[in-house]
Amino acid sequence: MSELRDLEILENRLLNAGRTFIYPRTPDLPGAFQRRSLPASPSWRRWAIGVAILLAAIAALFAVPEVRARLLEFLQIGAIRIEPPAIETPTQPPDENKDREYGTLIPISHLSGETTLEDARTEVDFPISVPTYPSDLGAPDHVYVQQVEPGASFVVITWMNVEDPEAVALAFYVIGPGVSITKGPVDQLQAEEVDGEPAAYIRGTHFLQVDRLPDYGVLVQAPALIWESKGITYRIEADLPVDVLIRIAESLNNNYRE
Amino acid sequence: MHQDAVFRLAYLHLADPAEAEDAAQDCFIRAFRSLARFDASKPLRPWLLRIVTNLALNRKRSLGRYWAALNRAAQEQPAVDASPEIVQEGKAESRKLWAMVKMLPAKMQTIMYLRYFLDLPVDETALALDLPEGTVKSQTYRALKKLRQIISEEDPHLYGSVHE
Repeated sequence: MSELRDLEILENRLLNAGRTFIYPRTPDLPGAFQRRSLPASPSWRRWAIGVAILLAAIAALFAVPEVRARLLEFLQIGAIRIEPPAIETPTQPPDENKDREYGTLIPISHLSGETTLEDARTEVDFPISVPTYPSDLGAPDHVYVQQVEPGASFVVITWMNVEDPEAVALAFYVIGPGVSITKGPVDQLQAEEVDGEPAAYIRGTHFLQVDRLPDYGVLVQAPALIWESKGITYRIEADLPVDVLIRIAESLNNNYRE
Repeated sequence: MHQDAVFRLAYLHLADPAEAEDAAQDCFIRAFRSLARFDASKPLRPWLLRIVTNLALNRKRSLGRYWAALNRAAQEQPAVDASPEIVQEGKAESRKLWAMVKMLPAKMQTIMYLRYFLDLPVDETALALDLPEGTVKSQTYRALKKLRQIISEEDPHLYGSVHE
């Protein structure tokens, strides 16, 4: 028997072995994630960070038509179930000239736990950096610490509109480990970067729900930028163009190093 | 589904379902972290398989993890979901061939797993390994020759059945 024929037979045997090979059942990766997310352990933190990035990255990629079909399949196997944009969603980058159509920002009337920035920094066990851009932003007007459960909190920091003190000009979320937030379905998603890390720019009306905090579900109409840094998830919501939001986001690092 | 392919490739390398699950989850997390750099014009599966291969091989190199996996494997029966006939067939040849493939160098193992166990075409294997298609073909040929040698030395009976 020639060597080539010999190898051909082996090849066929291998193919047959591959087809009949008994694999363990493929695990339920989303379920595994949830099981891991019970204690606030370093492992959990790592996964929480990953999921935050995953959300942002999936959302961003949905804006790219050629990968949408694959991502639909990808989503079915991914660790997170996210409501994607409708298939007919426009995929063109947002027209920044239409800023005025954004609508109202998240109402803060339902927020409790108002405190000061200094006190908030002692209440939570993660660092709270605030934007330093624009230079005349000044100190925040309101700071709210929202505890989901012991060891899992997030902070909402707001700057009010100078001309309308009842309206929020900029809402800034600092989301600590142990908190998960679901957004969607979203209308427009765009991949961006903050300090070289993946970020998601979301525009259009969408629902925001803090998991395990049933009362914290709001309809958001303003654009938002989401990113993660050093284990903390950040979210900026403001009626501003994306490049300005990114600049605000990147001003955090200056503050963080101080 | 990609989930199956990723998990199975991890399992083939690690021979432990728990370790394979960890590697698969790491794979997806790392993939999402790198999505911004992913070339959307290329297929997704080979990219994921490349990531999980690296993760699995790194895990395998960790002696502590490897021994833990061996211990668990000794204590647990793999959770299978197949008919008795298929299980029998798997035991009869698939597992033996797998055992032989595991004696190959890591790179050759990966080619065998991708080409035959996961039944990937050459072009997708090439993408997964970041190699030209011609290199995949030549490395597959070398791996097959090496495997045939291993089988003849380690399990002459299986070698005979291969020749039937």
